[in-house]
Amino acid sequence: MDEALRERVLESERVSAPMTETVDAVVIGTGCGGAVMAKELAAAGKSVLMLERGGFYLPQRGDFDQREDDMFARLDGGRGLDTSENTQATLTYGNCVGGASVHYWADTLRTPKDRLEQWASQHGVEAHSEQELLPHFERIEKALNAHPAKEHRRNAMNRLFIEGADKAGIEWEPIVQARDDRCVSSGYCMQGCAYDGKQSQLVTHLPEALRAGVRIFADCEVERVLVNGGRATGVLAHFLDRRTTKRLGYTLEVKAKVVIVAAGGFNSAPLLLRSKIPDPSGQLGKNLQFNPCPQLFGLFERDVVMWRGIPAAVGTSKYRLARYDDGRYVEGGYLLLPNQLPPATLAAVLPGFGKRHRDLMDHAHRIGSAISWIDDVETGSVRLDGDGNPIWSWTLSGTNELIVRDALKKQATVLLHAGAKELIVPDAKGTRLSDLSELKKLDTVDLRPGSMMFASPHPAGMCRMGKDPAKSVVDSNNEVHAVKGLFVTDPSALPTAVSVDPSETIMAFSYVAAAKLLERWSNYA
Amino acid sequence: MRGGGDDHYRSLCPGATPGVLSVKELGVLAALCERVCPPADEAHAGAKVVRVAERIDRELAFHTPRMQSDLKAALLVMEHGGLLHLSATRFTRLAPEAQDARIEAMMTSSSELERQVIGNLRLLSLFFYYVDERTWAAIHYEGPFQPRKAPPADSRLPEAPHG
Ligand SMILES: Cc1cc2nc3c(=O)[nH]c(=O)nc-3n(C[C@H](O)[C@H](O)[C@H](O)COP(=O)(O)OP(=O)(O)OC[C@H]3O[C@@H](n4cnc5c(N)ncnc54)[C@H](O)[C@@H]3O)c2cc1C
Repeated sequence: MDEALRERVLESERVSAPMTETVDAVVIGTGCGGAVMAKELAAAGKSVLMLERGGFYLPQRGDFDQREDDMFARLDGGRGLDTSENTQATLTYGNCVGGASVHYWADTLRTPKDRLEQWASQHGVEAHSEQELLPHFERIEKALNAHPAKEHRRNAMNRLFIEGADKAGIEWEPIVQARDDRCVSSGYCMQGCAYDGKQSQLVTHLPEALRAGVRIFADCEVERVLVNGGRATGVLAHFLDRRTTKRLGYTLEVKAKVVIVAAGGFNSAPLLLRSKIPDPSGQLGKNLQFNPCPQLFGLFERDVVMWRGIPAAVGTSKYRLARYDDGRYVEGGYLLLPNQLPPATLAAVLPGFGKRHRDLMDHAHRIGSAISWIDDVETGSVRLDGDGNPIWSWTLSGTNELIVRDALKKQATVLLHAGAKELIVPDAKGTRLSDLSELKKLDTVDLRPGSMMFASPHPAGMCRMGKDPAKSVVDSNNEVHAVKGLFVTDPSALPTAVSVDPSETIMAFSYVAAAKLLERWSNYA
Repeated sequence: MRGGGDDHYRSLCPGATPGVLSVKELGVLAALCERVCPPADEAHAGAKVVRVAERIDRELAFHTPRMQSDLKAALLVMEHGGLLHLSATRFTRLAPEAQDARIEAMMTSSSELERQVIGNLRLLSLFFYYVDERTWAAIHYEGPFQPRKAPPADSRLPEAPHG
């Protein structure tokens, strides 16, 4: 990002007094959902201020130093250590200018048609058909240089995945990636790209937004949305001291014609709860899905070095939709991909302790892995503690558990066919499998809280969209049913999780929301 | 049953200055890290040298009061939870093999609380051990391509190597 644009980002070290601002639109959150909204409104001549709780970090300043601890501290919500209440899910979400796109894998997938149809038929979502989203998908893919990953991008783990899938008769496909030629396949996507090769919001929509006149205040946490007479009027925020992560002591009050909440799938609903937004549907903070991720590890006789190269150049969507027989779950309900974990995270996930764990880590470079995003059926929720901080509740149960077990079996099948000598299940017991005849162990492996943890990369649903105000939080324009001028434009507004990586869906929905808001702008003027 | 005054716990983390944790909590954490992280040998630095417990204590300063109190409570369960396993001996007073057996028993316990406690303490210990560059050679990790730049809220110990 060039110098002139950076000047438009206010960081809290330059703040020394309380502030007030009056703008057309205030956007909370600078991830995929917020960035598209902001740039579209600014391009139409509106004055737009974006507020971001996290810091502003750039490769040009040497901030992306590729260390797991440093980068969790800079980029991740809860510095990478947040979990659900029962610790069964590790909550993975962005907390920096650019949001989760700064640490994402850059897989870029359109919303499946069946999911759009489901949202229309079951939730009454209007004007979001595949046909209506198509121009937005095309625009996003162009802006993000999204292309199927080329062969040279396949690291050893990707090649093993292909070998295993081929031998097991599982079709696989290249995954569309948002990268340009600056990507050096370093393997540090999750630590933020030091090369600007990954096309996160930091290199794509945020510079565009800043060029169109948007201003960003970083280190600025919105405490609540202000509502008066059923209408959103602005927000109250606090600047944070980046060195302590605590409040600096200066507030910001923003008066705005419209308030756009794009604080991410885990955080928008808590913000609305904290703001005491009327919720006649009772659905605010409910219906949390996040594509829980089971993963399995394989010990190979050759080097894998999982942490180098891009994470997933290939994968399979063959099992994306779950199959049921007479209402009984049979198979599927997940994407299946090669996994990538950096060394310390790998150590934390691998089972055991002491000498036994060390014996595994001594072979860390020969460990490969497969991972799945589960298309959740059962849901979680969020509530606030006495300080107004979110507590996320989620327990693996019911059909989700059946899907997890099936996904683990498919992962095992691929890894064993790829030549893994032994499989390591990351459960408390550290269950091992050495051939396909042992797959049934996965039917009983201990998945309870405290035994196995699940990453949660794709939160959605807690401010769900729908036609009926009695059953949903926002309408098909992303506007909160009960509060005029208050919009939610992130995956919280999706009726369910997407069943594929969601960033392209989030951006496409924001394009629709921006266009519809501009059409009706006179209502808010 | 031998108890544990501050001297006992201080001896488990000599020279440390606790921040968020008390001396006792830090001592329990240090004792646990000793068992969870690789035993020190010519290839592995070990938890004592890396000072994993102190690192976790410093990290906690940047987290919410709820997270801090959860971790403190977890350390109390770790130290005094033996009764569930028919042992009145504190974790830090057990012999190393008995400590391992206690950890093992907690990991597969029927008590969800015990599983969560050990699951999370184990995870933190291993993560903050393996982010230290002194551990990388043993696991064939060549390290990052970029020079280090400390984040604004840095929880590394000032004297840790900055690889
Ligand atoms: C490890 C990982 C890999 C992923 N890989 C992929 C992938 O390959 N492809 C894909 O499509 N998706 C991927 N995802 C998911 C994807 O990154 C996210 O779904 C997407 O980026 C979310 O965008 P968003 O706009 O909803 O929210 P976010 O990016 O989460 O942005 C919300 C922002 O709001 C800020 N905020 C929150 N609360 C407040 C507040 N009160 N005041 C001010 N600011 C606030 C947050 O700090 C955050 O920066 C991945 C996720 C993870 C964790």
